[in-house]
Amino acid sequence: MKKIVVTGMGKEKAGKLAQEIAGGRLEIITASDYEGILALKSGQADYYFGICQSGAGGALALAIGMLGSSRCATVSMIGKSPDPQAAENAVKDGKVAFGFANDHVEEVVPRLIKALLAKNEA
Amino acid sequence: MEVLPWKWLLFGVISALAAWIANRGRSAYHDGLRPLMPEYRRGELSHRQAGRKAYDISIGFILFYALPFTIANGVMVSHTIFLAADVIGVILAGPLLALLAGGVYGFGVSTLLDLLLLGLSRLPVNFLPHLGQLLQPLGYMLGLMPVVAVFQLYGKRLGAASLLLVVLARWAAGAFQTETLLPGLTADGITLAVGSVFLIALALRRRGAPFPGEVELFADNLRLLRGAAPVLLLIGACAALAANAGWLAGEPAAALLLGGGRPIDAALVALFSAVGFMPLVVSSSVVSGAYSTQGYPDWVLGAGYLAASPIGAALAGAGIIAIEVFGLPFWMRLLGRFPDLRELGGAVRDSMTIVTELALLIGGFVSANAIWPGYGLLIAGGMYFLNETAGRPVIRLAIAPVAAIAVGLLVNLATLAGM
Repeated sequence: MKKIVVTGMGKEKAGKLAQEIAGGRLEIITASDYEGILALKSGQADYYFGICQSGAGGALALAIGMLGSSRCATVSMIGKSPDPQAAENAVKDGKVAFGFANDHVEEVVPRLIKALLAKNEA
Repeated sequence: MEVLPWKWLLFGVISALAAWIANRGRSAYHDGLRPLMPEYRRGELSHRQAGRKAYDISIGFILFYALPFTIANGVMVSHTIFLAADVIGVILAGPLLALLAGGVYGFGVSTLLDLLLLGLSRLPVNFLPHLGQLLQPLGYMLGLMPVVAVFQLYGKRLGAASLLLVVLARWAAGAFQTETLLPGLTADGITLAVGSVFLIALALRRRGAPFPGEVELFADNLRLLRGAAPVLLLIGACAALAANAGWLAGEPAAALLLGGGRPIDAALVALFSAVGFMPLVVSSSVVSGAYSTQGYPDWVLGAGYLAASPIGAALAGAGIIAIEVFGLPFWMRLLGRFPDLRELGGAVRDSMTIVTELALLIGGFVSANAIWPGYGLLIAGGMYFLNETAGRPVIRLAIAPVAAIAVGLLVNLATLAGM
């Protein structure tokens, strides 16, 4: 089963929401951003969610440092309502780290989880 | 104006080295630029793109976080040098060109700021001395920095307990006359020190286990960081030297304290800040292979404020960088063993900003009114609301000091106009 590590602002709440949507078909853990990177780098996690106030700053900072921006995607930013296709497209493009704004957790997390489920169960 | 060629040269050297090491992709002062350094080193991020990004995230800090406080008391705030050096370093393709341009910038900006201060002091109404009042509320509120962090991390009960503790510490400092024991250690400084010890003790309660094989996982990056150490040590030595001379400070709060003749209090703020930035610098540097150009901001400078001699300052500055960089495996394990230190770091960085914001709001308004009684508060208050309405183009921490400076310029215009 694929494992997702949820990091950053309000990670507990986002992690719980992810768990509900995934319904046991994905394993969800929460961790600090650095622990999340460790999990990804050592192969203990497959996907990384980063949350911060803006969506564009701290959310993916460490992930971009480790993976390079080509494997990371910012799927929502504060002050703009999230593009409904952004999450699906990012997953389809093979991204593994997703950054989003704390304000948009409730919209973005379900979309990402559904897209990841579709990809991994296809 | 005092002609200070050594000062300008020293800033030139610091800025040249900082720009060179940024150009090599081995260090960045801005925490937001550091994670981009691996892509920059591989050439996937062009000089132009990296420079654009570095400029966008840095310019606000230079203009509002740093410059107003240099105008207030003549002390350079490190962002003016190091953030600009980030931009100069990554935007230019050639390392030698970056070194030269960095040097010219450091020399030029320190000279220009001295000239600007000279110009302002020659105005019909010299308002600069009134800006000294920025400092007073900040001094009294230093002890709130750890208290606000306790509130954020541990809630209202432990937060209220920490507030009681710092109030008692202030009383004890007066009762036992600590200032006669160690000249310069104020009751304000004691509240900050006592509150910080309480905060750190709370954070050390929870134990964790270091991640097995963590150091090996990042072995390549640790090698890169050790390779950059010689230049980083040199930058640390020069920065501490400049701090020892009273020319360079890390945070607005430290700059105001240092300029106000309170080096011990400034050093305590520097140490508090270093505790806040340590987890961030350790994780972002091992992940990116690029270090933080002045170490954990700002205990290198703190050592400089306290050192008895310039040579002692330079040695301490280099020594601190060595402890940071060569000790990285140790710091990584420490953060694993005490996982709450990461949360503490974020809370400390936030609380430093929040408390400084409130203190400078008061200090800025008091200064504005001292500069032009009656009009000062009317205009500065109006500028505060204008800034809020306009979506806060000036960061909240700087708005009142910026307004006070604006009131200073306006009172001169009014005087020249014969009002």
